[in-house]
Amino acid sequence: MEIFTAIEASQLARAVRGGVWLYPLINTTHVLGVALLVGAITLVDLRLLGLVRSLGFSALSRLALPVAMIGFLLAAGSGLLLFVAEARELFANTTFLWKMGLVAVGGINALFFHLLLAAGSARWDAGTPPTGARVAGGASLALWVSVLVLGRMIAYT
Amino acid sequence: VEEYIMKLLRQMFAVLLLLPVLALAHHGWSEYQGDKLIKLTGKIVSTGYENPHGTMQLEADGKTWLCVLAPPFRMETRGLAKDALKPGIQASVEGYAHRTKGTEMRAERIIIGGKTIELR
Repeated sequence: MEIFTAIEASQLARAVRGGVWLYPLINTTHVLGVALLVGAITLVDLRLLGLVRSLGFSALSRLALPVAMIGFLLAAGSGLLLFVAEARELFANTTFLWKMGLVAVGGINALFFHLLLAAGSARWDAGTPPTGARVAGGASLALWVSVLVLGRMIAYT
Repeated sequence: VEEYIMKLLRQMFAVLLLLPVLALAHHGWSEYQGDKLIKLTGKIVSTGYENPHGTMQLEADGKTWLCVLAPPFRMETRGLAKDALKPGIQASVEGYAHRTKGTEMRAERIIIGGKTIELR
Protein backbone atom coordinates (compact mmCIF):
# COMPACT_ATOMS: atom_id res chain seq x y z
CA MET A 1 0.00 0.00 0.00
CA GLU A 2 1.28 3.37 -1.05
CA ILE A 3 0.45 5.15 2.18
CA PHE A 4 2.65 2.79 4.21
CA THR A 5 5.51 3.25 1.75
CA ALA A 6 5.15 7.01 2.27
CA ILE A 7 5.08 6.59 6.07
CA GLU A 8 8.23 4.47 5.94
CA ALA A 9 10.00 7.03 3.78
CA SER A 10 9.16 9.92 6.13
CA GLN A 11 11.78 11.86 8.07
CA LEU A 12 10.40 10.48 11.35
CA ALA A 13 10.57 6.85 10.18
CA ARG A 14 14.15 7.30 9.00
CA ALA A 15 15.12 8.87 12.31
CA VAL A 16 13.67 5.91 14.25
CA ARG A 17 15.37 3.31 12.01
CA GLY A 18 18.67 5.15 11.80
CA GLY A 19 19.24 5.99 15.46
CA VAL A 20 21.72 3.82 17.31
CA TRP A 21 20.26 4.80 20.72
CA LEU A 22 16.78 5.92 19.76
CA TYR A 23 15.35 2.58 18.64
CA PRO A 24 16.36 0.59 21.76
CA LEU A 25 15.05 3.51 23.87
CA ILE A 26 11.65 3.39 22.12
CA ASN A 27 11.61 -0.40 22.44
CA THR A 28 12.31 -0.20 26.17
CA THR A 29 9.60 2.44 26.63
CA HIS A 30 7.18 0.09 24.88
CA VAL A 31 8.02 -2.75 27.27
CA LEU A 32 7.66 -0.42 30.29
CA GLY A 33 4.27 0.76 29.03
CA VAL A 34 3.01 -2.80 28.49
CA ALA A 35 4.33 -3.87 31.92
CA LEU A 36 2.50 -1.00 33.68
CA LEU A 37 -0.70 -1.55 31.70
CA VAL A 38 -0.95 -5.32 32.04
CA GLY A 39 0.36 -5.34 35.63
CA ALA A 40 -2.05 -2.71 36.89
CA ILE A 41 -5.10 -3.86 34.94
CA THR A 42 -4.55 -7.47 36.13
CA LEU A 43 -5.05 -6.31 39.74
CA VAL A 44 -8.36 -4.62 38.85
CA ASP A 45 -9.47 -7.63 36.79
CA LEU A 46 -8.71 -10.12 39.57
CA ARG A 47 -10.70 -7.98 42.01
CA LEU A 48 -13.58 -7.92 39.51
CA LEU A 49 -13.39 -11.71 39.25
CA GLY A 50 -14.05 -11.77 42.99
CA LEU A 51 -10.62 -12.17 44.55
CA VAL A 52 -9.69 -10.37 47.81
CA ARG A 53 -13.11 -8.83 48.39
CA SER A 54 -11.82 -7.06 51.52
CA LEU A 55 -9.90 -4.75 49.20
CA GLY A 56 -12.27 -1.91 48.31
CA PHE A 57 -12.83 -1.70 44.55
CA SER A 58 -12.85 2.11 44.45
CA ALA A 59 -9.63 2.40 46.49
CA LEU A 60 -7.86 -0.15 44.28
CA SER A 61 -9.13 1.57 41.12
CA ARG A 62 -7.90 5.00 42.25
CA LEU A 63 -4.34 3.68 42.26
CA ALA A 64 -4.36 0.98 39.58
CA LEU A 65 -6.40 2.65 36.82
CA PRO A 66 -4.19 5.77 36.42
CA VAL A 67 -1.12 3.51 36.36
CA ALA A 68 -2.76 1.35 33.67
CA MET A 69 -3.70 4.47 31.68
CA ILE A 70 -0.15 5.85 31.87
CA GLY A 71 1.12 2.44 30.75
CA PHE A 72 -1.30 2.43 27.83
CA LEU A 73 -0.23 5.91 26.73
CA LEU A 74 3.47 5.01 26.93
CA ALA A 75 2.87 1.80 24.95
CA ALA A 76 0.68 3.54 22.35
CA GLY A 77 3.10 6.42 21.80
CA SER A 78 6.20 4.25 21.51
CA GLY A 79 4.23 1.69 19.50
CA LEU A 80 3.25 4.32 16.95
CA LEU A 81 6.94 5.18 16.44
CA LEU A 82 7.84 1.49 16.07
CA PHE A 83 5.02 1.10 13.53
CA VAL A 84 6.10 4.12 11.49
CA ALA A 85 9.62 2.67 11.16
CA GLU A 86 8.35 -0.58 9.60
CA ALA A 87 4.85 0.30 8.41
CA ARG A 88 4.76 -1.89 5.29
CA GLU A 89 6.06 -5.04 6.93
CA LEU A 90 3.83 -4.65 10.00
CA PHE A 91 0.70 -4.01 7.99
CA ALA A 92 1.40 -7.28 6.15
CA ASN A 93 1.98 -9.16 9.43
CA THR A 94 -1.09 -11.17 10.52
CA THR A 95 0.06 -11.31 14.15
CA PHE A 96 0.32 -7.53 14.25
CA LEU A 97 -3.18 -7.12 12.78
CA TRP A 98 -4.63 -9.55 15.33
CA LYS A 99 -2.87 -7.69 18.10
CA MET A 100 -4.28 -4.32 17.03
CA GLY A 101 -7.74 -5.89 16.71
CA LEU A 102 -7.54 -7.17 20.29
CA VAL A 103 -6.31 -3.75 21.51
CA ALA A 104 -9.50 -2.28 20.01
CA VAL A 105 -11.68 -4.96 21.65
CA GLY A 106 -9.87 -4.37 24.97
CA GLY A 107 -10.56 -0.65 24.69
CA ILE A 108 -14.25 -1.22 23.89
CA ASN A 109 -14.51 -3.65 26.83
CA ALA A 110 -13.00 -1.05 29.18
CA LEU A 111 -15.29 1.67 27.80
CA PHE A 112 -18.33 -0.62 28.16
CA PHE A 113 -17.37 -1.38 31.77
CA HIS A 114 -16.81 2.22 32.78
CA LEU A 115 -19.93 3.57 31.05
CA LEU A 116 -22.39 0.87 32.04
CA LEU A 117 -21.12 -1.07 35.03
CA ALA A 118 -18.72 1.06 37.07
CA ALA A 119 -21.44 3.56 38.06
CA GLY A 120 -23.02 1.03 40.40
CA SER A 121 -19.74 -0.16 41.87
CA ALA A 122 -20.42 1.61 45.20
CA ARG A 123 -22.94 -1.14 45.94
CA TRP A 124 -20.35 -3.90 45.73
CA ASP A 125 -17.30 -1.88 46.74
CA ALA A 126 -16.56 -4.34 49.56
CA GLY A 127 -18.29 -7.34 48.06
CA THR A 128 -18.71 -9.58 45.04
CA PRO A 129 -19.17 -7.75 41.71
CA PRO A 130 -22.26 -8.60 39.63
CA THR A 131 -21.96 -11.06 36.75
CA GLY A 132 -21.54 -8.34 34.11
CA ALA A 133 -18.60 -6.81 35.94
CA ARG A 134 -17.01 -10.22 36.44
CA VAL A 135 -17.32 -11.03 32.75
CA ALA A 136 -15.79 -7.65 31.84
CA GLY A 137 -12.91 -8.30 34.26
CA GLY A 138 -12.25 -11.80 32.93
CA ALA A 139 -12.42 -10.57 29.33
CA SER A 140 -10.06 -7.71 30.14
CA LEU A 141 -7.49 -10.07 31.70
CA ALA A 142 -7.63 -12.48 28.75
CA LEU A 143 -7.52 -9.67 26.17
CA TRP A 144 -4.57 -7.71 27.57
CA VAL A 145 -2.47 -10.81 28.23
CA SER A 146 -3.22 -11.94 24.65
CA VAL A 147 -2.19 -8.52 23.36
CA LEU A 148 1.13 -8.87 25.20
CA VAL A 149 1.74 -12.38 23.84
CA LEU A 150 0.83 -11.42 20.27
CA GLY A 151 3.01 -8.32 20.50
CA ARG A 152 6.02 -10.39 21.50
CA MET A 153 5.23 -12.87 18.70
CA ILE A 154 5.37 -10.25 15.93
CA ALA A 155 9.16 -10.56 15.81
CA TYR A 156 8.88 -14.32 15.29
CA THR A 157 6.14 -14.57 12.65
CA VAL B 1 -15.72 -19.96 43.65
CA GLU B 2 -12.41 -18.52 44.86
CA GLU B 3 -10.84 -21.96 44.79
CA TYR B 4 -12.09 -22.50 41.24
CA ILE B 5 -10.65 -19.17 40.09
CA MET B 6 -7.30 -19.92 41.74
CA LYS B 7 -7.22 -23.25 39.89
CA LEU B 8 -8.02 -21.50 36.62
CA LEU B 9 -5.28 -18.94 37.25
CA ARG B 10 -2.76 -21.69 37.98
CA GLN B 11 -3.62 -23.33 34.66
CA MET B 12 -3.33 -20.02 32.82
CA PHE B 13 0.04 -19.46 34.45
CA ALA B 14 1.25 -22.91 33.31
CA VAL B 15 0.26 -22.06 29.73
CA LEU B 16 2.10 -18.75 30.00
CA LEU B 17 5.25 -20.55 31.11
CA LEU B 18 5.04 -22.75 28.01
CA LEU B 19 4.66 -19.85 25.59
CA PRO B 20 8.37 -18.97 25.27
CA VAL B 21 8.99 -22.56 24.12
CA LEU B 22 6.30 -22.20 21.45
CA ALA B 23 7.74 -18.82 20.51
CA LEU B 24 11.21 -20.32 20.06
CA ALA B 25 9.81 -22.98 17.77
CA HIS B 26 8.27 -20.18 15.72
CA HIS B 27 11.32 -17.94 15.68
CA GLY B 28 11.63 -15.96 12.45
CA TRP B 29 15.22 -17.17 12.20
CA SER B 30 13.89 -20.64 11.35
CA GLU B 31 13.30 -19.34 7.83
CA TYR B 32 17.05 -19.71 7.38
CA GLN B 33 18.89 -23.01 6.91
CA GLY B 34 20.62 -23.03 10.29
CA ASP B 35 22.39 -26.34 9.71
CA LYS B 36 24.31 -25.26 6.62
CA LEU B 37 26.88 -22.50 7.06
CA ILE B 38 27.75 -20.66 3.85
CA LYS B 39 30.46 -18.10 3.19
CA LEU B 40 30.24 -15.28 0.69
CA THR B 41 33.00 -12.88 -0.35
CA GLY B 42 32.49 -9.86 -2.54
CA LYS B 43 31.93 -6.16 -2.88
CA ILE B 44 29.34 -4.24 -0.87
CA VAL B 45 26.76 -2.70 -3.19
CA SER B 46 24.59 -0.88 -0.67
CA THR B 47 24.10 -0.78 3.09
CA GLY B 48 21.30 -0.06 5.54
CA TYR B 49 22.69 0.75 8.98
CA GLU B 50 19.14 0.54 10.33
CA ASN B 51 16.84 -0.89 13.01
CA PRO B 52 15.63 -3.44 13.83
CA HIS B 53 18.34 -5.19 11.74
CA GLY B 54 21.10 -3.74 9.63
CA THR B 55 21.34 -4.99 6.04
CA MET B 56 23.72 -4.86 3.12
CA GLN B 57 23.71 -5.99 -0.47
CA LEU B 58 26.79 -7.96 -1.41
CA GLU B 59 27.91 -8.87 -4.92
CA ALA B 60 29.18 -12.45 -4.66
CA ASP B 61 28.97 -15.59 -6.83
CA GLY B 62 27.72 -13.42 -9.68
CA LYS B 63 24.61 -12.61 -7.63
CA THR B 64 23.54 -9.72 -5.46
CA TRP B 65 22.83 -11.10 -1.99
CA LEU B 66 20.77 -9.41 0.68
CA CYS B 67 22.64 -10.01 3.94
CA VAL B 68 20.73 -9.47 7.19
CA LEU B 69 23.11 -8.11 9.82
CA ALA B 70 22.60 -7.05 13.47
CA PRO B 71 20.98 -3.99 15.11
CA PRO B 72 23.15 -0.84 14.76
CA PHE B 73 23.62 -0.60 18.54
CA ARG B 74 25.22 -4.06 18.65
CA MET B 75 27.32 -3.54 15.51
CA GLU B 76 28.67 -0.28 16.88
CA THR B 77 29.44 -1.85 20.28
CA ARG B 78 31.31 -4.71 18.60
CA GLY B 79 33.44 -2.38 16.51
CA LEU B 80 31.57 -2.12 13.20
CA ALA B 81 30.77 1.58 12.97
CA LYS B 82 28.48 3.01 10.31
CA ASP B 83 31.34 4.41 8.22
CA ALA B 84 33.15 1.04 8.20
CA LEU B 85 30.25 -0.44 6.25
CA LYS B 86 30.26 1.40 2.94
CA PRO B 87 29.48 0.51 -0.69
CA GLY B 88 32.56 -0.45 -2.70
CA ILE B 89 34.31 -2.11 0.25
CA GLN B 90 35.34 -5.77 0.08
CA ALA B 91 33.68 -7.99 2.73
CA SER B 92 33.01 -11.61 3.64
CA VAL B 93 30.02 -12.96 5.54
CA GLU B 94 29.36 -16.33 7.12
CA GLY B 95 25.80 -17.33 7.77
CA TYR B 96 22.70 -19.16 6.68
CA ALA B 97 20.81 -18.91 3.41
CA HIS B 98 17.07 -18.23 3.37
CA ARG B 99 14.98 -21.33 2.66
CA THR B 100 12.82 -19.72 -0.02
CA LYS B 101 14.37 -16.37 -0.96
CA GLY B 102 17.28 -17.51 -3.09
CA THR B 103 19.60 -14.54 -2.58
CA GLU B 104 18.92 -13.68 1.04
CA MET B 105 21.08 -14.77 3.95
CA ARG B 106 21.36 -14.06 7.66
CA ALA B 107 24.96 -13.29 8.56
CA GLU B 108 26.41 -14.76 11.75
CA ARG B 109 29.64 -12.82 11.33
CA ILE B 110 31.20 -10.37 8.95
CA ILE B 111 34.87 -10.10 8.02
CA ILE B 112 35.76 -6.61 6.91
CA GLY B 113 39.20 -4.96 6.69
CA GLY B 114 40.80 -8.06 8.22
CA LYS B 115 38.55 -7.80 11.28
CA THR B 116 35.92 -10.41 12.21
CA ILE B 117 32.78 -9.08 13.91
CA GLU B 118 30.35 -11.53 15.48
CA LEU B 119 26.76 -10.48 14.83
CA ARG B 120 24.84 -12.87 17.12
